[in-house]
Amino acid sequence: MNFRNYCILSLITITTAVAIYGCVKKPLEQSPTGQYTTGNYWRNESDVIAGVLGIYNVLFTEDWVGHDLYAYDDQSDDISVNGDHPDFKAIERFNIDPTLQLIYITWPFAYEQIGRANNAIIYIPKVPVITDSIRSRSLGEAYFLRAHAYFVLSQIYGEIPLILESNVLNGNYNVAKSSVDTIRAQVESDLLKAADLLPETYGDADRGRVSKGAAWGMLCKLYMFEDKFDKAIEYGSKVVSDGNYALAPNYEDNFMLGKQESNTEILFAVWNKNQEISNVPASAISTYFTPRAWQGWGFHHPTQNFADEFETNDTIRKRATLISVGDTIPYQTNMTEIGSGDAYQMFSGMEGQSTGRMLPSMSSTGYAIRKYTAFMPSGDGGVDYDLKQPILRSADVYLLVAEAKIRLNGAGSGDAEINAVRARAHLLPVSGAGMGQLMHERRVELGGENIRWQDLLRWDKDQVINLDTIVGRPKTASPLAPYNGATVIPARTFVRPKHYYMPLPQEIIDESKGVILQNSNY
Amino acid sequence: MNLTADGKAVSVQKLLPVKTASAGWQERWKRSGSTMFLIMRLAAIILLTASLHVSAAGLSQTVTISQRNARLEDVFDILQKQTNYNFIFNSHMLAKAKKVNIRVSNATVEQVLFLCFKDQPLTYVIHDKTIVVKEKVVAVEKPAPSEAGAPIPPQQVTGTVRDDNNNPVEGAAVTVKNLGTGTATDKLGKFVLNLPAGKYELEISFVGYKTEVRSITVGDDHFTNLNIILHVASTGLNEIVVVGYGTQRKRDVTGSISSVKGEDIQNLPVGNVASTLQGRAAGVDIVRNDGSPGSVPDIRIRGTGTINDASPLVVVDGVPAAAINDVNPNDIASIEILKDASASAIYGSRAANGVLLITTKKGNFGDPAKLSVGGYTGWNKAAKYLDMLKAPDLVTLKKEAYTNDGLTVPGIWNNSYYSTDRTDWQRALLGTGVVQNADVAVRGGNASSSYSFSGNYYNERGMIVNSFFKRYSFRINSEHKIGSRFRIGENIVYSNTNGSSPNTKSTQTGLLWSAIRFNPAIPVKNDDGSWGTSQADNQLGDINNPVATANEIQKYDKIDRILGNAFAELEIVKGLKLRANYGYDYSVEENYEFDNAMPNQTRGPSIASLQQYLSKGATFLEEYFITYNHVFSKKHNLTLTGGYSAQEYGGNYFKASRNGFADTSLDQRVLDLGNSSSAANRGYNYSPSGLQSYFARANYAYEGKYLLTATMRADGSSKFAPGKRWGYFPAFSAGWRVSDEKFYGGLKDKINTLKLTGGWGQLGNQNVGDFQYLSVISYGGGGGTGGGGYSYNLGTGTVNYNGAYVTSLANPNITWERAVMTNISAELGFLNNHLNATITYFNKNTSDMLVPFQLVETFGAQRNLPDDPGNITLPDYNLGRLNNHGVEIELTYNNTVGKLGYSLGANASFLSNKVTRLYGNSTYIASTPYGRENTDISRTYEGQPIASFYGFRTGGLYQTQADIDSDPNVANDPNKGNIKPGDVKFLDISGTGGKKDGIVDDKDRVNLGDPNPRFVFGFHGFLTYKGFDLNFNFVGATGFKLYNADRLSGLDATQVYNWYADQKGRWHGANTSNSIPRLSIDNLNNNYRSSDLWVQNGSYLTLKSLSLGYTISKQHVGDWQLPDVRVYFSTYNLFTLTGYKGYTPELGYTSGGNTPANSQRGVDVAQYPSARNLTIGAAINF
Repeated sequence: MNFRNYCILSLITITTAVAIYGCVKKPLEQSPTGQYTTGNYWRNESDVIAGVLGIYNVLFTEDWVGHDLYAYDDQSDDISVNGDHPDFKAIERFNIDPTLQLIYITWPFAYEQIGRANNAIIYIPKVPVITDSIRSRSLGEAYFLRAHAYFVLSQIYGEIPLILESNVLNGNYNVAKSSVDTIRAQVESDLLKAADLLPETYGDADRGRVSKGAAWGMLCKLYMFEDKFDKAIEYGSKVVSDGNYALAPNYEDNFMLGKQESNTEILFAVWNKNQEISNVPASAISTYFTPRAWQGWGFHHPTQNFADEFETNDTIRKRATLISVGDTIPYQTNMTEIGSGDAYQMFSGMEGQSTGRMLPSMSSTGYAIRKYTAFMPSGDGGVDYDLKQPILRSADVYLLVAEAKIRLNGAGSGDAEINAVRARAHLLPVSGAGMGQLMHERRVELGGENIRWQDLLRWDKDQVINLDTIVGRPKTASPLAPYNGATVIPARTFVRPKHYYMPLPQEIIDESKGVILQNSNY
Repeated sequence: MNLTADGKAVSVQKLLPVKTASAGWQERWKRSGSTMFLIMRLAAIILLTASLHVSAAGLSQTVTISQRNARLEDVFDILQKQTNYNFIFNSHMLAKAKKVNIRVSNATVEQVLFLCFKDQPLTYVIHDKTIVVKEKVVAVEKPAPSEAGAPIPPQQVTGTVRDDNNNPVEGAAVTVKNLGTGTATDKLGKFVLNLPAGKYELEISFVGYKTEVRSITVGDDHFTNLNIILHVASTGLNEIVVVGYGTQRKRDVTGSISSVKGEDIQNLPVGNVASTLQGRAAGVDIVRNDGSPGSVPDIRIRGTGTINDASPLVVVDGVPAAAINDVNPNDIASIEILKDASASAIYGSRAANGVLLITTKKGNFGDPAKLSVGGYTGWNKAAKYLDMLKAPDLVTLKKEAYTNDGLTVPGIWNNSYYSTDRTDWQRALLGTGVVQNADVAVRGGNASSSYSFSGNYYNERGMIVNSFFKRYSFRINSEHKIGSRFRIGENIVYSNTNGSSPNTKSTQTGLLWSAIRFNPAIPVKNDDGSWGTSQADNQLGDINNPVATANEIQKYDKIDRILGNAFAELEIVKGLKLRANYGYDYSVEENYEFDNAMPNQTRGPSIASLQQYLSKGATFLEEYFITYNHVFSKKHNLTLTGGYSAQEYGGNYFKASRNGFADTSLDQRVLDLGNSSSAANRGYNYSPSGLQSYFARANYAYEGKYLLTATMRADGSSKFAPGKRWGYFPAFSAGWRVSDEKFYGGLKDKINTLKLTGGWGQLGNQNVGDFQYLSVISYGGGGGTGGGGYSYNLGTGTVNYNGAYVTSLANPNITWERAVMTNISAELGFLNNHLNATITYFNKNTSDMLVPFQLVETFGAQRNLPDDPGNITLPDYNLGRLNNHGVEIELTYNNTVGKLGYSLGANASFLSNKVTRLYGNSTYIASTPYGRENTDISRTYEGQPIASFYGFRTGGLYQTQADIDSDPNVANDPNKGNIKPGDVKFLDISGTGGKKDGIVDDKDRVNLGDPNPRFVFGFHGFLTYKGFDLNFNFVGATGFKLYNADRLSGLDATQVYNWYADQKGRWHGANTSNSIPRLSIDNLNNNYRSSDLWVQNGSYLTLKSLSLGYTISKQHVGDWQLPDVRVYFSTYNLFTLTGYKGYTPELGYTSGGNTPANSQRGVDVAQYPSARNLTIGAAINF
């Protein structure tokens, strides 16, 4: 080739190379669309607000706060399980083994709440520009919700692995269990931070978020589990003495449509909303507690043992807590045919007719829990999921303070708090109340709210009571026909210390390959 | 010297080869007078020929040339560019030609030709616009004996010789046997002979090809033009095979490549290419998953290489595009299957599971347009039905089951209605399917361009009503030479497929599953016209009438796809080519499903619903590569290929649905007419991804005997974190053609060809989820009763606020799956290379296999929780290892005996698969549990083949109470008291310290068999005799087990449905049966747990296809020449020899949900059965 040809050739080659280079794209620089990553989220205030609401979101979960935790309360004397979940029944009868579905399913969602909170705790402090009050409030909510999950886990399983910020950052999730004391110390520390960071009250638009009062109340309860009565009194009294957390004027306002949103007594609740008005989420608690014939699944039936606990004059609390055969509920329009088994009614109606009243065929005991049931005001027969699900009420804190005082200073020292609760129920005051009166008051005031069984365990560990006598008594149904006081659950045997805690789920033990050990006794 | 011709100035100088350079033009004119005479005479002959004429106008075109010492070819080139004449010549002939000096301006073509051919040992004829160069054949000038006595001028015989791939064969010898004269073909495969009238035998031969003989009659009434296809002789080594980014002579290939010719797989009554490959190549296992129209089998090359997506990369005409369903099998010229690392390493990160290179048919340069038309129609019938109980027997056995347990017999079984047999549900559901196909193609070209147009219509109506698959496809490709150094071309395919496959895998709603179980006393339709139903009693089961379901669900999935690529190639200097290739693949999928209300059916639905979605995907490919080929010192042949490739993918999806339709008539089924309050919609983008690669390959051959190939590919994938993105995949291979050595000598008579090759290389697999290196945060609203969504409620109104949380955890270290492969192969030719054999050993180790890793659930709630799904998707981890090794044998035998031509091929693969590393000793990857019993069937353990069956071993049935009492298997079993005679004897295997524990529990479950065939084989043949052709293909597999889960459930006495007819042989007293347990509703011994009772041998042999054709060659009717017509009759799945008791032993993969793709195989869930097909068709070639 001559020089000219070389020139032409070079020119062609260079032109082609330049043309090719111009066309070459950068195919590796891809990023997901329509979703964020931990690398590009947590940029600003609205990310923080959504990130914190994302933690609350897990509360709706049916397998967690949204219902399944209530199945553990079926171990108490107040309620007996019904429905088709064999694992619930096994737990009620203390036939507990680590492979039961409920034992397993509670676990991941508890850690889901912890994981979401951990992320918020890691990233909120790093958000560059954000209103100070929003930053501290959001961080406080995250600490509170993490503490709540650990507190529940420690009540159910006892010793559990502690997963904190560093575990998330390092992806290190296979860690050994921590002692109950360590878990409680973490809960305490988180709640103290939350109490500092959270505001005392919220405006209308933010009702449903946790406040200082929620953190104080939860601290009070934690200290009761630790037998730190003076601390319980210290933090519980902050709630009792704060007008922002006053008892609702009417007991039933805590469980009634339209009365919950501005209710000062509800410190912490799952903030359900009406799904027929807008497409919003709600917990499944109404479904589980509402009788089957009324669009629910009717899983938990209160016992006669519990119904008997109400004082004769305590009609306000009893009617707000229990639905009894023959009762009606506002807006309940589902009609049920009266069958031959229902032919013992204590209300008008004959076999073959339809009625909106509760029938014996709807309950194995003659009762249903009233607190989580409401119907659409439109009268279309649908369950109204607008009903909030209270988790912590001031009344609970009042009675914890009373208990702490009684156990620290003796009978009568908790009269003020007990009588505040009784007065709201239009009952006469008591004086010189000891633990017997206190335990009675807690049982009827907080019935059906997944508190009784943990109270019983706590008292038994402290030898305030002997659980043997309680579980040794059969659970019975209503004395009325057709139940005739039948035994629903026969006498059970409580094994100490085995039954204080559930076993850890077998799946978790297996997955950890020896790092997480099963609870002793299982 | 100047001369004026036709009034134009012509300057001619001729220096060589004649040394008398000064000789005058006129002088030479005289000297070449005889040549001139010949030309004139030939011209006269041509003019006499009815079908030919010389274009006088063409001759008046003028030419200007100035060349010194030029080769004749170069002059022809110039002429070709300046005029619209084409040249036909044979370069061998031109080698004898002398170089010319010529300088003319505005001369006629004739003048230039005259100058060029002066003093050459060559002459030429002008045939239409084509100038045919030929040797001066003296024989031609001798007049042949003529009956009339008067000399008849010779007639022209022309022809084109091509090979199997439709490529022209250059230099083929064309011999006129009776005369002993002949010629050779030019580079377009064309030849011209001038023969006096008479009958001749033409013999066409070329090294490496079978010799063809044609009888011709030369007369004065027609022009003879022959089309001859030379078939590769038995050695097969001169075939050209397509390799990635180029082609190679098969004799030089050092990797492991199987080729399947398009013609072998044409006109089979299946909709996709993958199905046609079954049994065609060693090491290629086509795993049929489902027989429904439009379903595509899985392709496994050299075993299942990973528990994840183990499909090979499919490259269609250079564009990696996986949609194998959109390719019309009749458009395919060839398929190359790259099996080992050396062959496929050029595709690096996507080649770990092999590569399929599909080359579609192209037009040929210099070929007249040819039209071909084909069509067939076939009918499908179920090949097998299962024997189910008739109504009276069912009633008897149901009563027995309840009586055995001392239970009250449900009232329905005393209702005589249910003792009358009314419906054979399998036959009611499975009708006759129809397959129709039509193809039209026009292909051809001229000297500078080639083109191909083809259209295809395929229509399959399934055996189940409303199941169908239709395809329209149009393919256009062309290639153009612009000048001598530049080529461009394109290939554009539009395809439209539309299909509907019924659900035949569910054990809740599967149609076949339902048909097997539906009560035989229920009619398809009641007297009032309503669908028969199981609603009357729950003893009839919670299943819908399958015929009703098939009729009331209207659905389709329509895909429009455009796949186009364009290339440009520049030859920079001789041997150095630069090629740019751009590809674009765009598809739109529209899915529609209207589920009509069936309120009288047990499972409903009570109201009608409609769901539609639209999904779009696009990928863009750009590639630039250079190829350099040079032969040094005539001994060293070096080819270098190197380039860059980049590909990007993306797409989006949206969906809408409504339910509650007031009017459900066919023409009113649109979303707008559904209940507006039920409207729901969603939409998202698919994760985008990109791949960027550099590749290089060197092929070196020394004297054609010693062969070396080295390949390197560097791949970057956006699926992995920066820093983990790039993978490097090297491969080496070497070959030795032993039989070409001098010392081989005498052995050559016994083993004609011997070639040894060996190779090693690394490959990658990036067919994994996107962005697993990132922790994804999802943001949004939603959620219902019981949770879900992202949002939370606040305040007093109805306001709901969006929330956000982590929905997938990151594995920042995620990277390529790797496969390291060793390949050793021998190619042998025997019996004069009529018999060829290839024997290959391979060993493939997959490492860094991505497996789902179960983190301890302290991270949160996992998405695939067994009961309620959680939120978090876990990333995969590069933990697993897998080994596949085996031997492949391919044999071909080609021969012609008299008029019988035959070619036989057989292939066999011996394969062994084992997971060598997972999470640890007793850990496993679970698969989808089966059916109502939730049976845990398939598990993948370390140290065992992938997806092995798992369960209890059994030792027959307990015949007497004494058997139970004395059985050591249950000596300490707390369940012992529940066991009764007629129950299954499960074997105790576990224990401590070598001592069995005497308890049958979960610890006694063991590996029950391997669903992956150890031995897969194919045997196919092609025979021709006169006009007849016979084509057959047997396929088979052995050395594997199948799990008949449908039988398990069909004999399960606790199931309320109809049972298998074999239930009549159940145990009902000592020694009445040792395999079918007593009927028990309580089933306290759990007789139907996963056990070896349901595991069967899967071996089979199928005559996959058989076709018989007859070709009527071109006939003349008066002035008309009729086209070649081949009519044929064929069958598909004519028979299957197998001991397996289900519909078909070809069961495929049934992994579902979140389980890895290959975690379950060979489990019978009553998949859509295979059809037996009969087809008639015709192909016409003009």
